[in-house]
Amino acid sequence: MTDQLDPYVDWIAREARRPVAVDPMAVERVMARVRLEAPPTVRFARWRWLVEPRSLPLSPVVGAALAAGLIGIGVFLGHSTIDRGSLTRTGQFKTVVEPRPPLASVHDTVIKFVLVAPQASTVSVVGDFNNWQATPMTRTPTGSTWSVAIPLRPGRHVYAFVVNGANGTTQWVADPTAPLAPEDGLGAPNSVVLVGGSAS
Amino acid sequence: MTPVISRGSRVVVCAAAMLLGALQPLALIAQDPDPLSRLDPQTRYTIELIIDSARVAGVPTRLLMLKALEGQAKHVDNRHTIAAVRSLFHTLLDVRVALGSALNESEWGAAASALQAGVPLEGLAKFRGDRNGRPLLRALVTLTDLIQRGVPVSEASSAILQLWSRGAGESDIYGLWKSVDQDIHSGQNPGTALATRLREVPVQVAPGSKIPPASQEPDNPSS
Repeated sequence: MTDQLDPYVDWIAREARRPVAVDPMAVERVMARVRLEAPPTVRFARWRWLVEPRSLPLSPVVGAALAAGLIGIGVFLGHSTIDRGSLTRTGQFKTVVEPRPPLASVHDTVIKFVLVAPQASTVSVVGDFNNWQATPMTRTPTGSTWSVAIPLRPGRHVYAFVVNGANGTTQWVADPTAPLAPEDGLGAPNSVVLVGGSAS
Repeated sequence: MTPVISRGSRVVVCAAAMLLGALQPLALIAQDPDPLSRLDPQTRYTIELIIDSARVAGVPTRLLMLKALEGQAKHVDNRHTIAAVRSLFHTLLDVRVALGSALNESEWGAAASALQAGVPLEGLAKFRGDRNGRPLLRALVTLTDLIQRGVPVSEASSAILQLWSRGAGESDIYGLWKSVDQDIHSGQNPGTALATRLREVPVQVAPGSKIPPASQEPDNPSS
């Protein structure tokens, strides 16, 4: 290695060490331009306040209370928007006295569906009033009859019973006490119930 | 120095947010906002096309949706479900021809069932016009049921139309149906049971209703 620098490097070093002559008015010109810039508006200031990250002091107890409140709001909103159909309209269930009401045009909004099926393990009623999703029926104390009370809107409703046997078989059964609807290519025929004044 | 959120609080807040997010869909499920979501996408697409056509044609779309859901509930092959929905759509168009559009949804459904049971379009059209408060729905449901229980279409149509034209009330038609039903269950021929019971119905002529001549019969249907 030699201590003698390359002439070109030496020239660069000298140039770098040479003091830079700055125009005394340059600082003034720059500051004048800065002062000419409009200050940030209030709108942007508020937005910056909203999005600016910050630390939130929160104890575990307050955090838990806040969480419980949010859950409560969610449950309340969800519960209050569920459509309960005519149940909310009538406010109470009324049992239809007639044991086989689907034949009759009743003025109550609650219809009691009844099926005698002593061998069944479970029985459900499905129809247009529950979007063809099963509503379970309960076995009466006698053990052979199944029933369920469902609030129905006035008009014509189509339904059937789904009987699950003890041996695991499932059978769609029309109500033997009600008028029949024609079979239309979907298998088991359905029954018809007329409800309320609009039946006329 | 600003205190920061403790780790425990952050966990609680995150858990609450996740739970809240999980609860809202549950509430939506309870409302069943989209019943057709139970169908497979291809079937749903076809059903929605039919429903859209029905909407344009001015026939009730809910009956079509319910028919699709019925097929799904009965685990019927998708092709048959679509065929049933399409058939119902065409039947509803026929109902509109026969009875007009001034029907409620129940009457649309009952009239469609009557046509599907074999009542001819001309026979159904005789129920059109001024009802004077008479029970069209009960008449159509009873007519359909009698045919389903074995009464010939022509006899059932004639009997119910005769009652209808004479101004029969809902109780008259229901009474007839109940009597015939009992007779059929006791072993009588359905047609004979209807003819016998029809003579027993005491019908009061409603104001404004016309009594048809004895020879007036509905067109002989092709059942």
